[in-house]
Amino acid sequence: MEPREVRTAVSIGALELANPVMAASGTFGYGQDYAPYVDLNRLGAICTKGLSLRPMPGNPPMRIAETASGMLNTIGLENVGVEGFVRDKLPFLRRYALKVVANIFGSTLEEYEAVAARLDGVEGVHAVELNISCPNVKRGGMVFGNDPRAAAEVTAVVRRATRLPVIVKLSPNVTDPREAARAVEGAGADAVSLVNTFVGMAIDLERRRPLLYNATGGLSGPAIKPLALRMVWQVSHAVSIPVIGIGGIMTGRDALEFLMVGALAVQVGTANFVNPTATMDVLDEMTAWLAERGIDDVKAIVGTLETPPG
Amino acid sequence: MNHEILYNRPLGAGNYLMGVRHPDLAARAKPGQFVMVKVAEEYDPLLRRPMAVYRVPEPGIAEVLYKVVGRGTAILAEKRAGARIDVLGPLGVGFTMTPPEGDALVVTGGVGIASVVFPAQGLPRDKVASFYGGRTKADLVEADVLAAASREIHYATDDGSRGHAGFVTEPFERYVAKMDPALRARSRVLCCGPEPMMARVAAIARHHGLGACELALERHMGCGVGACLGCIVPKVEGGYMTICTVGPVVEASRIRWEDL
Repeated sequence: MEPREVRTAVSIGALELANPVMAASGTFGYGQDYAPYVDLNRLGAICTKGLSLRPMPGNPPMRIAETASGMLNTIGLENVGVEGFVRDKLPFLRRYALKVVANIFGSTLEEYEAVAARLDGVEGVHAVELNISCPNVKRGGMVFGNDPRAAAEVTAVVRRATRLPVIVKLSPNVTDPREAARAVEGAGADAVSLVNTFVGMAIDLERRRPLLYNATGGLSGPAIKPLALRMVWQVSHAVSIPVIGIGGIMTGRDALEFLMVGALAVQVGTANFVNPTATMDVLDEMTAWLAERGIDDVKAIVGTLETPPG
Repeated sequence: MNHEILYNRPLGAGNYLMGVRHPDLAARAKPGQFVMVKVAEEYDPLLRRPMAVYRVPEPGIAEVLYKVVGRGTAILAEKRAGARIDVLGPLGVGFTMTPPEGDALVVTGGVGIASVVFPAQGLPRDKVASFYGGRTKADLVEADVLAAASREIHYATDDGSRGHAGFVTEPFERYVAKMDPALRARSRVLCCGPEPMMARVAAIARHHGLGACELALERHMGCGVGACLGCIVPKVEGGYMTICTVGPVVEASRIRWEDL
């Protein structure tokens, strides 16, 4: 069959993406680091480094450790703060066609509300993604993510503080991610994204010490893909809002698997570290796969997983 | 980003010299900059390995010098000429290459040699005084190459098998102490080695009033381009800097040493 042009546009609520490939928060800075490698006009969206009300210095070293087919991090939410982002980072991103999803977090409901309110109506910000699932900071949001009621509460507060589409990034460090997903849907979330990192640990056997400053860190990379895929599959059957799949996506085929289990878009994270052109490679491989099969719209693959009865 | 390995030969004491055909890297690399090397096409090990650009021996070819210290470098050491490898770079900020009015004092230990030969070769030979330490004589790989780029060179080994028996910082400090104070202020240190060595070199430079002390720092890196925020060093004014973009070469006085 002749390869045809593949339509790639998807809508996450009111957030219209030219294609379903997004850069995951914390793996793409504020975009500028990757401009030498990626045509940012071709990227569906960037999820910024998590933004807080005030700048944060992050954790002391060691912040990262490599593990089998993955990595642990405990960056500690280092960021320039919401004002610094609007003043110093956003003007660069405004030059490109990509959509800007501001990933935000706080240690209190009031802080989430204040950051969301600050970004409301700011030119060049197209959505907010609530980080309620950072495992590395005591008051970095996971307290909200691990309790469906608290997750709903913070979602409702942010919902009231902004007219922007609200995406809630869910924690995988729970028995069943569907509970928080349903709760935030009920509280007005426009979409959910999952998964954030899994809490993990690595040690230095000889020194009898953890490799990371914080003892534990968030596991990412291809090692977590099967876990993430299962959770995205579960959640996409539990909610009717769009689901964004994240977790160990390295290739276009990986991305297509997430779409097949029900995600409408994907975020590429750790792969950016390994290969700075990863987002573009994922997009190109994805569209080539679809074109080769005569599928002319990426949406046609979403949720098409065939599962045996029973 | 896929490049032909031209040679990958052992230098002794676990060190290897790899030459890669990489015209863009060879044309653009500045002394002290680094590359991120993907040692395996598979997902394990996942992350690239940061390595200094050792030299550009001729147009189109760039070299890295590395020591086998773990699984990644062990995989790299198995690569044969003719194989291909993914080398991303040049990255980061290298050494100041305007010749100092005074001396260029090159201080290095062990595989730190990988970062200092390229800048030494780029400075006037009559300005360069080098200090090279290792555990034994066998660890002083490429000593002749550094010597050829230096007006004088002083060695130190733990076992006394070559040069001074003890730390390389000892002959370095004796040398600096004998320098004319006005010459010290116009001189610059270029240093790469184990962290305790660099800390000592920085303290000597500060104590004796050397004009500048540039250190090529080493850290585990996730991305090499400033995004992962993994390779941080504490800044003197508070907070952290990523050495993949601010460095790897950093002036010693910018580091908050007590928190390193």
